[in-house]
Amino acid sequence: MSPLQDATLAKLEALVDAGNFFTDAENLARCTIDGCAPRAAVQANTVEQVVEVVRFAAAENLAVVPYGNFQQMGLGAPPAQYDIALRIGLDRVISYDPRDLTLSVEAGIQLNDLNQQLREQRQFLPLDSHLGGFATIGGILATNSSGPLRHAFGTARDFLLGLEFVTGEGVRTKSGGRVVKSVAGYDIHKLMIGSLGTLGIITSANFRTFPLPPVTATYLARFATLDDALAFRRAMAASTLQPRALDILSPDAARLLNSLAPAGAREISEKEILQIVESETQARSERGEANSFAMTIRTPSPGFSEKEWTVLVGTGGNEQVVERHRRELEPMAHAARATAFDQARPQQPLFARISEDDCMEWSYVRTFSSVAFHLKPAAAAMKISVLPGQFSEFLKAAQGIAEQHELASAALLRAAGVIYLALVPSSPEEAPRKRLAQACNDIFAAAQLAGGTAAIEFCPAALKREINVWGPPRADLALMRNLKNEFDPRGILSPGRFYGGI
Amino acid sequence: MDPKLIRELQEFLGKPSVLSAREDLMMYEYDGSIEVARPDVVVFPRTTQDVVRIVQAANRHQVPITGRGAGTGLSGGALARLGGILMVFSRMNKILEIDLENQRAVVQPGVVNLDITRAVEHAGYFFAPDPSSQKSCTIGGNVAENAGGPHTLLYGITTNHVTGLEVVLPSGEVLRVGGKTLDTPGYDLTGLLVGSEGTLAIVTEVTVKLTRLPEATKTLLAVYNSVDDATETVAEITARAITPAACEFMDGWTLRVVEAWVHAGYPLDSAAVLLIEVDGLSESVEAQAVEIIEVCKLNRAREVRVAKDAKERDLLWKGRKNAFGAVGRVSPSYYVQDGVIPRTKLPATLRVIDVIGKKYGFEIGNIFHAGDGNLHPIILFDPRDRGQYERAVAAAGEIMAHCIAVGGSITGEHGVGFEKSELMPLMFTEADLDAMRRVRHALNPAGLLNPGKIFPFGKGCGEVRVRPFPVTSSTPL
Repeated sequence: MSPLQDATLAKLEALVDAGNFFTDAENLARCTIDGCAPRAAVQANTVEQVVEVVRFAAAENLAVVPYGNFQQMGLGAPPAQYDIALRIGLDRVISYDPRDLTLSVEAGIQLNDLNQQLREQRQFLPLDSHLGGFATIGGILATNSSGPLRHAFGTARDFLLGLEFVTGEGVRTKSGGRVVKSVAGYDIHKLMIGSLGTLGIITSANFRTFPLPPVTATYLARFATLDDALAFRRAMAASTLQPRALDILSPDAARLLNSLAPAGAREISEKEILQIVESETQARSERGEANSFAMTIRTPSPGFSEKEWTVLVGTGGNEQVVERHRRELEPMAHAARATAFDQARPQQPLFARISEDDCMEWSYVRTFSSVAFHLKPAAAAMKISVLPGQFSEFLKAAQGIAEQHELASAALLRAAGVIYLALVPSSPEEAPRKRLAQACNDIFAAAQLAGGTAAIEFCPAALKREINVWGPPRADLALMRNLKNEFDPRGILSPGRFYGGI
Repeated sequence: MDPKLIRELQEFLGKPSVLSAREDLMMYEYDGSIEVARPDVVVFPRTTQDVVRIVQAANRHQVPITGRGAGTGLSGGALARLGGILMVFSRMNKILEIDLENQRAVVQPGVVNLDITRAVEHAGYFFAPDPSSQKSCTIGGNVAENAGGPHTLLYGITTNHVTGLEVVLPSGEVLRVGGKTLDTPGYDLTGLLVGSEGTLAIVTEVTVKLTRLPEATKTLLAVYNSVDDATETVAEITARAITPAACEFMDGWTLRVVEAWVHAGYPLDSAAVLLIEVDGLSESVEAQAVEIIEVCKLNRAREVRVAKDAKERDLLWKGRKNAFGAVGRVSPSYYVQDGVIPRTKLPATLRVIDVIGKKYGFEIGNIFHAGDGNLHPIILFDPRDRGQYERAVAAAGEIMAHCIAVGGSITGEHGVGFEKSELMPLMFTEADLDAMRRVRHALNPAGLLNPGKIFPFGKGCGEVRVRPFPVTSSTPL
């Protein structure tokens, strides 16, 4: 089964910097996808190394799966073959021209690190990931990850200007440009967005940047029913108001997110956190250890209402604009029979330094899919593209499907036209899993009926053997296969992970 | 052309929908560029099924097919460079569906751009991409070229507003990609097809986003005694991260030509003007206008006028949008460029264009989307004078080389077509172009769709060549 002999491994090791080649169990386990571990993991620190590794893999017929920061390895189908995990270690800012609002970065840079640099110029990249800022730019692009800010800024396809990538034959290639407008040649970079490493390996990306709004505020309105919440959405859409983000959380989704904070967790002040950091730093320096370390801080429970539907509205602009939104949103919410309307508490300054979110609630909401799967590992977290006009009808159908198959369900609705739906079986046993598979298939059909599409973002590996996570293929698959064959004729890039088994 | 093919086409389209007489074909050998190419036959499909049958007929006879909307394109995209069938979409011009709740419209490719807005503005919506030719250009052409326009500075270009397409593939198969919804699983074929200049598939239906009309709009005209001051203003507005809805530059020569025709009230003695529009919530419009006026004054604007009402605003825009028509009154022919540069490089680049103009002995007018850094230098020349034609092309090549040298693009919104195909190696390596050829091969393997476009004819050497003469024998004018 293993095509990797020792001599082959030695050749692979020689292609990357010393210390960037791993075959030990611990490192391979980190790269495991749905139970499949690679034979070797390597980190490339230059484009030339990416080229060399891919050429080597192509010559030896080895399958390569690129990754950034381990954030979304579970997306997609299990790889049909998996020999080399290729980490993209390139993490420089190639050029940043704040006065032109354009940026060129290597793919391995973390969104947080990048936005920290942009923030000095009061700019940011609205490349909103459902994981927060720990994902890499390449990872976010390859998975087409998006978040609440898509309401105002769209997704990567709307502000990505150009890309450089390495094809399945190890050819360094680019498309698009660095300026804010260019229609020269085919937009191959749009094909790369969301292609999950099956067409090429992204090595750098060019974006336009955006000014940070001087003031932001988030409002939370609560409603007894989904239809009331949707009436509020409709009123906003019909007005000339321009919210930056607009999400709707079901009571069950609220319960899931609330439970992320452990029971009895107490709120901790920024001062206390800084004290912990200081004492830890001191202890490490006394032990002669490096001074940089990572610390996990659990934020307090978001305290979402678990009985009602919560509409979160993000606003931004100058003070008058934000005030205008508050002034008009409140009566608009009450006209739609809101039971409460509040302004969210601003993020603690410590978090504000590392997060674009102006309040804790967004940090929770954006992670909904992955949190649901993290808390309920037997669940399926689906992403459904339906338009807001079909939200009510679709969600009622979805709830019916869940009940019919004895599953719990929780939903996050993004007004731009996406529903994140978690279907949770009572146990990970086989019988409930069969029911989950049937429910997912019913959801695929319901999405199609509503004129949309659906895919499973996260689910147990066992379920992936029974169901196509990308949904039933459509007539467009043949063209996509043609494209795959042109860019990766040997089929070595993330084989089998994508739509239609690509 | 095989008369049998013409008979076949006549059989299922009807004789009035098939043109093959020389005098008829001559009407279709131009577009808005300086290129010329005559088709062998012009057809007017009415339905997707007509398109399918035309494609099947073309396949049987192995002749090229080129799509065409209103023929307003500026890069030769809608010209049958290698002859064959020219498919004109003027009879597929119906708006099929308007879905206000979900802010979508489904339209046929021959629908005129502005007609989408006209159909929905009563309800408070509009279709955002607004090429200057929007009163006549069609959505199919906009999709093929990924068209821009003045207001795309804030609202984005065509690709940002198209969510789905129905296309006919070169095999004759009808395929839907994308839809009304977003994030369709699989590769983003919609994103690939928009801007592919009719070389990958023939678009027969387009699903577009509708945008909410802003509640407030303010239009400013900043008047300058020097070109530098105007371009410095644009650089500074960008640097302050103010994003107006539109920010247009017009130099003194151009505005005098425009004023003589449109009477928009532009100051005749100025060296340059900026037409700047801000829109959105009234609170933000006010604040932005104040800041923009401050930047204009800091950069020595002689005067900043604010349009008093919609009538005055429309007049200012009428001048801008009819500028190319106005230029046509003073010169037998002109060559419009479409290079893009970083906004920080605007002042220096305009000085370079001036130097290049003097070197080749041309008057070069400048009217462009300054906020995007999307230049449109207009080189006036007489095409009957072969020497002038060659010098115009050479001057344009130098301007383009400069755009690329400062990190820009050879085309911001007009497309490559065959006007700029030989310039592609300026921006892209042979490997980049090979990737694009592979895309074309994946969708259009026989190469019958709009051949001779985008890709340089001479393959492989990577050096800059002067664009060849049009391949047809007809002489302009």
